Amino acid sequence: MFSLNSLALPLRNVMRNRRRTLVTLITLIVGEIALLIFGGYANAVVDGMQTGIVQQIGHLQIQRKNYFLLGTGSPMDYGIADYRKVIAAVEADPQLKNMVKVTTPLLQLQGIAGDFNRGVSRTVAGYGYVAADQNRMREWNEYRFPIEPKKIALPEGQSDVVSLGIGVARTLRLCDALTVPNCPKGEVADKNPGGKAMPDDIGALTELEAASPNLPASDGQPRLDVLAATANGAPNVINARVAAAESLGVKEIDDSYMAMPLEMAQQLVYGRDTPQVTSIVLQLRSTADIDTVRARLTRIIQDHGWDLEVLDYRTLFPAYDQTRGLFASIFGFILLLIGTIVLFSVANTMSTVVMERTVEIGTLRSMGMRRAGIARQFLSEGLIIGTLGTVLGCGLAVLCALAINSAGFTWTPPNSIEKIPLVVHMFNTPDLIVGSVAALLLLAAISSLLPAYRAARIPVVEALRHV
Amino acid sequence: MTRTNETRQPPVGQAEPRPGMSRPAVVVHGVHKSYRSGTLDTPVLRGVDLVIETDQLSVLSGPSGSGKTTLLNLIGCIDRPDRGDLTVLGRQVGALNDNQLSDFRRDHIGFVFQNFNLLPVLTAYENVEYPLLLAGVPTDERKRRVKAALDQVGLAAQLRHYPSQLSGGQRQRVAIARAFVKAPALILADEPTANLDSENGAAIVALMRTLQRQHNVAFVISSHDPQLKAHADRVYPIRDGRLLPPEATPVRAEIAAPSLV
Repeated sequence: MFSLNSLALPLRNVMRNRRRTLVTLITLIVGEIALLIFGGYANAVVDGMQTGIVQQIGHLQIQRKNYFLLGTGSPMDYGIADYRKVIAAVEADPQLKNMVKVTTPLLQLQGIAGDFNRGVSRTVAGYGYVAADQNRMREWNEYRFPIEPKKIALPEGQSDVVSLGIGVARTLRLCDALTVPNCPKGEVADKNPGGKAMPDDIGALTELEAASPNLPASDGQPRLDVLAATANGAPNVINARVAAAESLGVKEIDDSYMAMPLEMAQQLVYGRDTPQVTSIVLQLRSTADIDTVRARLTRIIQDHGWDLEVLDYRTLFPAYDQTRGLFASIFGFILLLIGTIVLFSVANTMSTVVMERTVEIGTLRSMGMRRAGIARQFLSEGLIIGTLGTVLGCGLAVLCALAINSAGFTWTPPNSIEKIPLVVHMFNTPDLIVGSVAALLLLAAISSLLPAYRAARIPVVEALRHV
Repeated sequence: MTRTNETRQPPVGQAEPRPGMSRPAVVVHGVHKSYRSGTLDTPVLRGVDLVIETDQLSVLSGPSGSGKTTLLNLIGCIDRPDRGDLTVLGRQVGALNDNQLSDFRRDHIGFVFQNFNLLPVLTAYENVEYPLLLAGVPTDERKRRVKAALDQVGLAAQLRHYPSQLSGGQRQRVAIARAFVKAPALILADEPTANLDSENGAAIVALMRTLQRQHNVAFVISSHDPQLKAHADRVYPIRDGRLLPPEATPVRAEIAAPSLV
């Protein structure tokens, strides 16, 4: 024999007018799906952005104090001379060992790349890398995007080669040699087109460098001259082979990017002085460890008395938080719209239910049910509708997400020239599901509050007389 | 509730129990009640005095608008008088707040309505069980009492039927079982036979009378059904909100067991 409990009567009442309940449920289900799919999409965009950033600049960077604020204009003044000791200290730390995946030095410089004899040149942002470390960093894929790790174009283990952003390659008229896409045809590099002639002293330096017996003979690869100011302010030129051109995904970066081996960058900037770096890049196995690792690094730096600071990728790349904020505000706006619809839909349903069951309210009250019991009953019905709607909405949203994730859609984010997979990240953190369910449930409860309160306040006699 | 300063007629029946008699189930003294319609106050009860004894079936009789249902509502503690005193089962109900009144109804008063007022989503069993759930009666005791109550009204075979699957007479029997199941001291019925045909009406009247005697409960019915008046211990006529002297009722030594429909 079925025995009534506190939920049985509200549950059966909810199923009493199935069509009306279904319409209300559909509102909740569609709302829940919209919230979860958009939230999952926003998560995927932010996760994708984080993945791209962390693959390139790591989670944390150790820099000389104020390099981030002041040093980019004069990186030579903010070098880390004893960077090998710092890296050794980090790698030897037992606490960091399991959390840090890659520790690698980086030297950033500003320079001019060109083939001065052909009269083509442009300013470049140079990055002195350890190519093998960079390739390991590009394998980082904590959020399991369906992408293959793409190695950097700079070959490992070669000291005399550079790689360029495709924009730099185009400007330097290396389209054919480096098979750069989207190069205008018929553009011929004139001798020094519209530019000033290279100063004689720089030209002599270039010729001297090109004739250096230390450089291997050209194997048909194009060569470039890279000019930079040394730490002492003197010009320095290196003649290097160009291995390849690659896209970094953002046109502005492609138009100025040049990667070179760390040793080459150090020779260019410091000559025969003690080689330095501008940053020590740390990539973690999991982003969740970032605060722990930063605290530990800060402690190590303090213990050694180094004049260094630790910066995270969000500080180094402010657009990340700006993008998160943008999506959060759009999500909030959608939540507001959906919440309003849910609020009125459930409130309308519950008000109609109260009106239809007024005599029943009088009957229950005459049997001795208190006002609170009446209110609880209608509140329970609102919550049951809310729970059913959000749970069904969650289930359908999961199916939608699986369908989208397996459909192979791609899209091109703003400021990017590369397509990335269009996926929905719903399960990385429980916040999205728990938050949206809680929000709609809360709204369903709030929507039921006023009708429930009104039901409880109806005088018993009036309720019994209701037609 | 306020006591009026008017000179009162003695209540119909007796205000205090005579030596050897039980306490009255209901004592109504100088009760007034009006309903407001817009700006107009319509008096419905005009100084009613009444004593209803325990263990009796009493009928409040009168035409529509005479005030019998209003008086029944006041006695059932689902409405409050504008003036006058009301003592139900020895309790001055005017002093009780809403929750106390609810608890009082839950524990001591059963209702039978003209339209049966069964909960449509509950089976006959569950409808009868509901007052016991409200009263917190343990499961085993609940089952025993619900089955006994439905058995008494002749619906042991219809436990799982929903109200929509029952006839009018059967619905009213479920409603009567629901009123009796918690063994209240007072049961109130508002026009319980008004929505039934004469055959079913007669059966319901006989059933109520039988149960009233079996359970020794004070049973107050508002009705102008002559069948009911014929079965009543007391009939209290009401006209224009005033109680008239009680009518004489046929003396009944024995009530035959009801023929159940």
